[in-house]
Amino acid sequence: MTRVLIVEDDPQIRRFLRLALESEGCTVQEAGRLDVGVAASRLGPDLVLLDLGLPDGDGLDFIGPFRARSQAPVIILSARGQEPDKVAALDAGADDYLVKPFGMAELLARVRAQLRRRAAPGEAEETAFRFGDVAVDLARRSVSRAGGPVHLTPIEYRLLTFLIAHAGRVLTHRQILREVWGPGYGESGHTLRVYVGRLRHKLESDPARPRHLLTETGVGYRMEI
Amino acid sequence: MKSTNVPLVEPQAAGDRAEGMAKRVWKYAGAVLACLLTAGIATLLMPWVDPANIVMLFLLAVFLVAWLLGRGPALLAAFLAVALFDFFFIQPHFSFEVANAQHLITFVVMLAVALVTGQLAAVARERLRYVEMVQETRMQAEAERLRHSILASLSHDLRTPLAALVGLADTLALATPRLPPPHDETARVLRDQAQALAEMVNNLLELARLTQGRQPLNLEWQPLEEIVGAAIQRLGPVLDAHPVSVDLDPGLPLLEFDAVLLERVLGNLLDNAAKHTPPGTPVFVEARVRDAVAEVTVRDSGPGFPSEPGFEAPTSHGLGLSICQAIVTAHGGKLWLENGPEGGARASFTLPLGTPPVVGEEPEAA
Repeated sequence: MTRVLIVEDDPQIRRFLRLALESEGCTVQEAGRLDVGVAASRLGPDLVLLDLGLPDGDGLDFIGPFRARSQAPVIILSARGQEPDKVAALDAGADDYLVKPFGMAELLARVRAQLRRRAAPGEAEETAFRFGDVAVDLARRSVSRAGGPVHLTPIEYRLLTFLIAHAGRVLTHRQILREVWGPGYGESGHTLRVYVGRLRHKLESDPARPRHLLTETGVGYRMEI
Repeated sequence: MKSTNVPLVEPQAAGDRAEGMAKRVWKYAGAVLACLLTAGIATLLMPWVDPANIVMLFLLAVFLVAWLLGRGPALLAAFLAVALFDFFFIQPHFSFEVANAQHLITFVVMLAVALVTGQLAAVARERLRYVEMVQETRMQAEAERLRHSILASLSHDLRTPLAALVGLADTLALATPRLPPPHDETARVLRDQAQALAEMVNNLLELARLTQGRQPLNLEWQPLEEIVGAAIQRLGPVLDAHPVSVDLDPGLPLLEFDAVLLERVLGNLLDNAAKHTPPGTPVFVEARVRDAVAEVTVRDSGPGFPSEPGFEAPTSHGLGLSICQAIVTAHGGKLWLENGPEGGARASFTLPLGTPPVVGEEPEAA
């Protein structure tokens, strides 16, 4: 049975989260304060829903220590206009975020996606991926679309494989730049955007309305496989 | 990533040099006028007043000039006061000649006192003005902070119960087993209304943030295409009933804008198009380079705006369009509404082109 920890100070939002998650068969533990949440996190939840603005501290302070102990997914509950906070939380190790207000379907879809991602066994050994009409073979370093080969530059290929390796997770601009371009490229947001655009033109059937290489505006990207 | 803070309201252009010059000339003219006026008054008073006290009148004039007009004019006034005093009030009258050597001492002391009091007064005045300015700036910063914190807490206090309301109504609407028919429908309406209210509150808060003075823009060079895709994706089911056709000029360069805010503009325009047109009719997003700007248009195939709307948004579109207007203006562009020649409503906005950074090509290898 999946154990979910909710760290959120508003009791009515907690109630909604509990109802939704229990309908999904999860057991739910609630914390209305940061210190209670930190204590409860020692019980090893399978997933955490974390509000950033807590009465006794910043939810951001929860993530680092928790990540040191556990790889369980953390989903941030945030308001619109808090992009810098979301980025900070994702950089600190959170996996995804939900923007309030959200409905049950959106919540459960995100929760399921994160649990599925963690449960995928031997993720590292898998070498062949498919999304849409695109096939990627990591062992042979080849990418094809609708059966025909797609030519990628070395950086485009690195970018694609990094996104695939973290499919379903929101990656911040900084995380991607550091990993694909190296530590010196932290300021080149426009370079990353141009490369994602080029990848979309090569791999998406409608680059202006991508279905796999998704934009998380003001935050980063999410690969949907 | 580069983040640039740009005040929403453009700071006034740096002081016009010509204007400053004119102001200075007026100040010196004031100093001359003050001395002449003093000489006039002293001439009227001469029958009753000792020359020593006329010196006092001149010193008072220099002091006032210093206090009101500053150091330079005070310097001029000091010399002019001594000259006028000599010319009009010392024997022989109407001449700079000095009959009595005693008067030379009077002039030197008068000049010294005039210079010193003048400079001291001017410096004191400048300090006072500086202190006032510092206090004013401090008060403005304080007011700004207060506004910011009120808005932040208001935002939290309004959004939290709405988030709970939307979520709880949704659990009712999706309850298993389903609620009996009338209540099932009620739960759905509750959820949708709460959602609409939450959206309205979001818009209001955003408009307040945008118009309350300084909203830092997070400007970055980026392709417009990305933000168009993100806006369409975020609207999701709202656009289900309308085929959206995107036509962006492939030659469109990178543009410098705040991605979150511009996505909001496109989202609001698309949302308006979807809500005010019959289901099944297409919506178009187009972008072209025109002169020194990029011009983005969202148009629909509906009935169009009720009358030629010009710049004033029809009230049914009001809040969302006001936000678009504020955001586009903050980016140095402009937004306008019109009815297309072939019918349908068109909302267009421009963004300045600027000089985007170059992103290199690399050879294909994989």
